[in-house]
Amino acid sequence: MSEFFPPLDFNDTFGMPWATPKDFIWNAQIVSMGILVSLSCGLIGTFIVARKLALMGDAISHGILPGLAIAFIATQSKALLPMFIGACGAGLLCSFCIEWLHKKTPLKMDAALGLTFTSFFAFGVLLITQLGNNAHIDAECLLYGEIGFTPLAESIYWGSLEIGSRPLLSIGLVTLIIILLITIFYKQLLVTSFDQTLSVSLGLPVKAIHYGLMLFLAVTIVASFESVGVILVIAMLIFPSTTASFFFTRMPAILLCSFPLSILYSFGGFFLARWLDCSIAASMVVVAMACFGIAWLIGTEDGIIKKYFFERKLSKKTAIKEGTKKASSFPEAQS
Amino acid sequence: MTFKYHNKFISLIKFGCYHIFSVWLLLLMSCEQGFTNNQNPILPDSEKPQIVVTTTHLRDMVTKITGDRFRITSLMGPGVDPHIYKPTSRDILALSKADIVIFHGMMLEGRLSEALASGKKMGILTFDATSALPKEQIIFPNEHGGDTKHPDPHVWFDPKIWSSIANEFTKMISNFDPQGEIFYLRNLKLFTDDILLIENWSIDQMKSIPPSQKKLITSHDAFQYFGRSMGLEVVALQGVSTTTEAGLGDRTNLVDLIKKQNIKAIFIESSVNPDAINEVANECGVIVGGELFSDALGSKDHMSTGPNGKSFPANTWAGMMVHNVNTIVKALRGNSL
Repeated sequence: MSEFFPPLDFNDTFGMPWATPKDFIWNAQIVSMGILVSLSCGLIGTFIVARKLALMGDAISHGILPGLAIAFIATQSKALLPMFIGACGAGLLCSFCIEWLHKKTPLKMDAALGLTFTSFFAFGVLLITQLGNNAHIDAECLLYGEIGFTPLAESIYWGSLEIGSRPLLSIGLVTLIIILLITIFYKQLLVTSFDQTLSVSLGLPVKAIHYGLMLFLAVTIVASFESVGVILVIAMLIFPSTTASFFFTRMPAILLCSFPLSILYSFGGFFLARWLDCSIAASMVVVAMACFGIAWLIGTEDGIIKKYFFERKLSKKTAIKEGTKKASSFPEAQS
Repeated sequence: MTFKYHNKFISLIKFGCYHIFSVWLLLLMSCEQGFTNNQNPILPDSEKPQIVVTTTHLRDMVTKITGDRFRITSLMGPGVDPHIYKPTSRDILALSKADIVIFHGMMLEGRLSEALASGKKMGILTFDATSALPKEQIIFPNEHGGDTKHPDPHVWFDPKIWSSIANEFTKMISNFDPQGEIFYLRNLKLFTDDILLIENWSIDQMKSIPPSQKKLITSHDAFQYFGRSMGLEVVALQGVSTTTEAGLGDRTNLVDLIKKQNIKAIFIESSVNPDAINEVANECGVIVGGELFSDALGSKDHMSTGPNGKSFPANTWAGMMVHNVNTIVKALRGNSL
């Protein structure tokens, strides 16, 4: 057991990463990358989870493989822009196929989802195998980045001025755009996420909003996982909003929770990885899981402790209360 | 429609902007970190400049040449497959503390190669071991018609190439630390002499294999350079990278080849899952000739007897070559001594 958990050297784990300016800059880039990825995924994930599409992130992250392969064949390089366009195109097509299968066939959503993304992924693997068995392009290399290499990534220059490392800047830009778009289209996103009938009767472009959301999901996924790997992205789409929902029921509060949670995940994961000497991305997901567990235990909305120790006797009453609460969840949408 | 929570989102934007700005500021600060070269030959161990090497082969070479003038950290341990290597937190710490990073290049280390090749920043001097090799020495796998972009990275199996990489490295390190130049050149001489000795011995050993058996069949395509310098024909189940799976066609072709050419033994590799090769061996009724060291060296306790009856530990280039040659010769020679 002591082999698995090395003794916690407080100074080595918490102090060392910030000891010198060089270390500070190096590690700050890794932690910022973690924060930005969790934040952008957490914000967009809140709407995805509300639409009962939690695994859409998984689907799109695998579904973009053929897009990457086709972009590679067309341009014969791993240049950023074609790869990005290919990936987003394939991601959007993937979500379109899922929607189509769900609407036009008797298939349930989860079945349509599983069917589509596995076919897309398989098609992508096929294309890559046809490209030749060389080391330069394989699924592994295209799909999985490593958060620890963020400080080593190439920089973007404006003239001769170094602005910053490319992956950090691109995810920063994506995060900024997401925050802006959510602020502007918050009302539309909220109504279409919860009440399709109402949004149609209000004359909202339901389909356009859905595919817009899917496009931004694809953009977020592509921008994140070429630098941090796929598992972290999928986890971060789901964890922040589900964790926050044990404390808040209202959408804005849950969205705002993404901020402290992403900071917590990133620092927690970084220190945990440092202590146990393991992968940073995996540690971040473990920290997210721990936060979820704690929230589930002590949550004020549906937490175990509250449910079983305070509301047991009133369970019948609670059920009625919950029912009425859910029915009147969106006064602002109906007003 | 009133919009109660809009204010919160304005503050949310402000927070976001602040955050991006602070990251940007940090990065800007990073430009000012220069490369420090405060060399002194008599330094305590903790103050010596640090070299980080990626693969076990490079660790052996760098240790042999630089002796104790540097602290050397190797990211990959014995038996780790560099194609699918994933860094731990300590590895990243080591990278951030390094003065020089020596990496193999040619995409052997996957993402890490890419990251190191693109970024000469953060005050770290990087050395791409294979970048200076002349093109005509490099093998390009051309399964799908003359693909010249992606070289076969397993160059350490060619003793001549490995000598020339050691040469290049010595030049680089003498530039970095001119006071140690004579020391490095002397070590280089010893190192390349050893390589030459083992090369001649290996070619000699290979002569005892009957010509019809001069075929080396392994898990993944790592031995092309080895085959070229030792006069063996090399066939592999998988491609150059261990991450591409063997297609059904590749497997059938291999089984046919083994049966048709009456091959006695095939080989597994220490850093690749042996299941597929074991299956093929069962199907063809041939023996598995033993474990070869391909993408990673072995442990220091594993000794093999080489030229002049000397013993070489498997955590060195010499030990790896001697072990591989012994294993191959023993399995393919059969009874026709």
